[in-house]
Formats: sequence, C-alpha cells, structure tokens
Amino acid sequence: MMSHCGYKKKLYPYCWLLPLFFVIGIVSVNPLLRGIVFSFYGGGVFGGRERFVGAANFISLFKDDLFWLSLRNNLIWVVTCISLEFIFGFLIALLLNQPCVRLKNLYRALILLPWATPPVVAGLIWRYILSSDGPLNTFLRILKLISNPPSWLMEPGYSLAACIGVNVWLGLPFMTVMLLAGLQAIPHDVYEAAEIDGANAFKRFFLITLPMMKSVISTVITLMSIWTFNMFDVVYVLTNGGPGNSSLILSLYGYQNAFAYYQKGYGASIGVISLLILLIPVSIYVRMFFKGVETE
Amino acid sequence: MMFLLTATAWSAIKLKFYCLAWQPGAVDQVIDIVDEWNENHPDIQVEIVWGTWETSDQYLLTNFAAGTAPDIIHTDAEKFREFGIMGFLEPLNKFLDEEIIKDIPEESWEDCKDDRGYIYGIPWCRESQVIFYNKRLFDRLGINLPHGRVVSWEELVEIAKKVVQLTNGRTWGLLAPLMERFHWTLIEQNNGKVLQTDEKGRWKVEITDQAKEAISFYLSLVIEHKVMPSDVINIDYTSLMQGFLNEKYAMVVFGCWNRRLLSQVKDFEWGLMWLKKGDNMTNAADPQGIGISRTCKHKAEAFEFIRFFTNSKNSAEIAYKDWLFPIRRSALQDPRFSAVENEWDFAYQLLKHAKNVKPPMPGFYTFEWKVLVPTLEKVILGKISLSEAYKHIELKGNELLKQLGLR
Repeated sequence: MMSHCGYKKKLYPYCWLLPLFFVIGIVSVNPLLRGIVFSFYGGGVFGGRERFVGAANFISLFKDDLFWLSLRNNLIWVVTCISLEFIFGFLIALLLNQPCVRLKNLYRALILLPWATPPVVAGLIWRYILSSDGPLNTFLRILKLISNPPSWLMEPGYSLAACIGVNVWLGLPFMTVMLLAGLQAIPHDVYEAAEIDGANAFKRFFLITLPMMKSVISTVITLMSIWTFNMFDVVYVLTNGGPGNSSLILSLYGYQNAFAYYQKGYGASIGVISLLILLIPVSIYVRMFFKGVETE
Repeated sequence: MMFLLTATAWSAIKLKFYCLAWQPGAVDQVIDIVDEWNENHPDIQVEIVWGTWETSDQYLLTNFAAGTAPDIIHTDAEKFREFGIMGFLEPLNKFLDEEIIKDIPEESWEDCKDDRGYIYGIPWCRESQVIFYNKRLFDRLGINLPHGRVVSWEELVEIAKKVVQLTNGRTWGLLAPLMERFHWTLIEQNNGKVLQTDEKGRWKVEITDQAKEAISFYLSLVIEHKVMPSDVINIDYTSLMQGFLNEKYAMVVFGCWNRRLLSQVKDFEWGLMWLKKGDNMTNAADPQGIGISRTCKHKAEAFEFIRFFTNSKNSAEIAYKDWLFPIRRSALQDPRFSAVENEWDFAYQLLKHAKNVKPPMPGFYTFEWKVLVPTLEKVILGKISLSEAYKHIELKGNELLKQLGLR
C-alpha cells in the first residue's frame, strides 16, 4: 500500500499541469463539447425556441445534396492542395538544399512571403488578380496565350481550381521550410558513401533522401491535411462557395448554416462530421508521435 | 467640482450603439449627433460601435448568442422582424407615441413588425434602387430615352441591345447583379409571387406564372438577348463601378446612394432611369432601422436616444449625407431632397413608387442565398434548364422552410 507521502509525491507534478488543463478546457474542450451538444438541437428558429432533436440534424444532413457536394469538393480540395504543395515544396526544398545555389537566404525569405500574408488579404489580392478583367487575364491576352480567357472565379469548372491554386500559393512556404529542414538533417556522409558505392542521383534520392525523410514527410502531410481540410477563409473571400455551389467546401457550408442561414444546430452537425473525418489523420499523427517518442 | 464630474461620469448609464453608417459624410454626422446627445445627457452616455454591412449578421448573431449584443442596433429593417421573432430584440410598442407612428408610413412599419404586431425597430432611412446610365456614351451612340426616363421592360432590352450593337459588343448593355435583387423588382412589377402563405398562414415556396415570367425576363438578358454578362453572379462593388466608369457596362442597377461616388468622378456624366411594367412603377427600396437588444439593461434610456437620433432633423441630416432618403414624412420635407443637382429630384419624385420588394417572410435571406441564388446561377451558366430550376427551387425551398419552422 502506497503511503500518504507517496501519493503526494505522485500528485505533485500534476498540480503544475492544472493551469494548463484549465486553459485548454476553456478554449478547446468547452467549445468542442458545446458544438457537439448544439448538433443535437434544432427544430426551426422561427417556429419557437430551439429544442433537442436527437439525430435529426444528422439524418437531414445525409439527405442533403449540398452536404455531399461540399464533402466531395472538400476531398478534391485537400488531396489536390496537399499533392501540389508537396510536389512543388519538395522541388523547391531540393533546389535550396543544393550547395551550388547562391543567395539561398534571399530565396528562403522570398519563399516565406506568402506565409506572412493573412489568408483573407491573400484572398482579396487574388480575387482581383483572377477577376475577368484582372491582371492574369490581361497578361494572357497580351501574350496571346489565350484569346478569350475564362472568368476564373465565375465559371464552375474553374472556381474550385482557382481556390486550390491560391491555397497552394499560401501553403507552399510551410511545406518547403519543413521539407528543407528535413533535408538538412540528413547527414552528408551518407550521400558521400552512396556516391563512392556508385549510386546515381536518382538512386540517392529514392534510396536515401526519401526513406530518411519519411517521418518529416508524414508529419507535415498529416498536419497540412488537417489545416487544409478546415481552411475556410480563402474560399469564403474568393467565391463564397459559388457559382452555383461549385466551390462549396464543408467548413464554408458549416459556417453559412450557423452564421448566415440561422441553422446553428445544422451547422454544428457539419462540424461534428468534419471532426469525425479529421480524427483519421489525427489518430495517424498521434500514433506517429508516440511511436517517435518510444523510439527515442 | 472635479469629484462631482468624476462621480457623474462613473454613475452614468452607458449604452453601446452598433452603427453601420460608412459613407464619410454620414459617419461624421453620426459622430456629431452622438456627441450632441452625450453633451446634453451626462447621465446617459452613448458609445458608437462601428460595424460593416458585410459582417453585421455574423457580429450580431454571435453577440446575441453570447448575451453581449450592443444596446442599440442599426441594420436592415426586415432583420428586426427576424431577430425579433428569434427573441433577440425588445418590442418597442410600449415606447412609441403618436408623433412617431404617424410620421412613418404604415408600410414601412411592416418591415420591422412580426405577425403578432410587435414592432422591433424604428424604420429610419431607405435607398431606392435605380438604373444608372452613362450619359455621354448614350449621347455618343445617339440613344434617346423616353420622356421622364422611365422605361418599360421592352424598352430596356431595346436600349441594351442598341448599346451592344453600336459598340460592336465592346460595351454590355446592362449589369444587374444578383446581389442587387433586380429580379425581385421584376417579380413585384409583374405581380408575381415566389414565397406565399397558405390559408393557415404557413409559408410555402410556390412560383406563380407571373413570377416565372419575371425571372425568365431577367435571365433572358444574359442567355437570350446577351445584353448582360454572366458577371451578375459574382461581381463585387469595385469591379462593377470600374466597369461602369470604363464603359464596360452602359447601365448598372444599383442603390441611389451610389450617386456620391459618381458625383466625385471628374468628366463622367451619368443619369438615372426608372423601370416600369405597364402602369406598375414599383422599384426596390432597402429600408434600414434602429432597435434595442433584449439584453439592454436601460431600454427606456436607449429608446430616448433612438427618438433623438431618428427625429426629423437628425434623420434628414444623416440620410442626406448618406445619399439616402429619410423615412419620416416630416424629414422628407427638407428641400435638399428635391434639389436638381445630383439627380436628387429624379429619385425624390419616384420615391413614392419605391418599396421593399423582398417578401415579408422571416428567413427570406436564408431562402435566397441557400436555394434561390445558387439555382439561378446554374441557369445562367447553362448547367440546368429554367423548368428544372423552378422545380428545384420549390422542392428545396419548401424543405428549407420546414427546417426553419416556417411550414
């Protein structure tokens, strides 16, 4: 049996964690639980007070075409954004990691510029650039690349693609910086040894760089997937989900229901579904994190 | 003395006034009026909380939910009906006296009233929707407007077609963005209905033939006549004005407050037009109101401030500086509203035909932005036919109304 003193000694460190638990409880757990509770309330904002409706919001959601459309768009949005950010981010990181490249610091600073731009500001700038008579279309016309360029934000086939492009522009710096950090952590003598053994650049990349970057790549992709899935501001500013809901994504649809359509419970249920979907990458990330801790 | 002043300031009632005025002249005027009130009422001090029209719904809803809403609220008149039914606003009936009631037209009260007769806001000022046209371009192209510059639907199409033809397609005839709700003016002029109540007073979406004709006319400007670009879907104010000034659009449908900006552009000549269908000259008006939040602890004092803020003199001053019209009949007597310069007289003469054309259904905006507008956008973009659109609007609209507790 543990003595009184032993208990005290065991509990002592947790006391220091109490303020942290308190703050996390207030700013993270409380809104999360409230959101989950809200998702079970509804019943018509103009038909009397909101009441407990059980799973009715979720049932309506699964019958809602717009929900499925926004979920589909969301998946396209996440997969395309992450893929493009990863491919371009890796290419830039590899270039910046070359010893022969001069003015590396300048390039790094320039690469970081979009990251320093708030997404709403970036959205407004790009909204202007991508408008029918904006700089991009003027440029395309002058160079005679396209005689009649499309309205990027006003045509269903392009609106989501335009949003993806802007989000890639915003997310690229983080991806590049993280991958560059991963590349720089690989010991140089490994490459030298491989070179002596006759491995060409292609082999060095696939047999040394990629395997040794595995943990960085999986961490950054998991984190970026979570952030991108929840990204809202870019689409809100650029297209607000239009035209004809062609660029509507889940986070925006949830926001619209909760704050514009007077359907707080319905909006919250979209949030709950998003949370459930996000639990997949989150659980992968947590498993990776603990695996890393165990290995250390 | 110092102690007394400090004590008065400390014990004074403090009221927060959420105000959406943004045009420079109107902002200055609001500040002056609030300063005047604060000077004369050291025991009731009003602090202005500036808001923006784009974010006001979100700001108000979150603050209502958190119980931190400002005491006095300025927003669209029909929002008072919605927020009132939702229980966020204080009914003002007990504060109203004959002087206010009689000075404001009966139809204006309807915007802020629920079906039990509770009034949640004081209708205060309004803008009428007009058609701005590029005068110099019209002169150059030799386009003459009918007497009184009041045009029929057919004449509007003819003029717009002429512009496109005579400029070899360089200039679009008209731009009436979806956000400006020109289609609701057309529906009203054609005596159409989209949202109506059944015999039990429950709301339903049922598009009448007249409404279909009006919507079809609006869409034909883009699809059939090709005098209006698909920019109507997503255009912002800056691009719209830039397009009007650069002769990309010969006519634009907009609120009459826009005259302020145009009056400041050198070497640009513009004029106003009005639309009619037969004898029906109804055009849209977007009234604004002021009300009191239910959580306000000093409602009587808040109403006294509203009474002062919206009195004839102050209503006239703010409306004039905001390039709008006051709703109070007495304030409208101010001769500045019928002055020739900047077309005040034209807008003033037709003001009797301006009314809120949005159906008086709580949740109208939800229906419009969730169902109606995205569906019309799909028709404009050729993704669905008009008959499919009507079916979709009725089906999805009625489902939505049920969710909102209106059916």
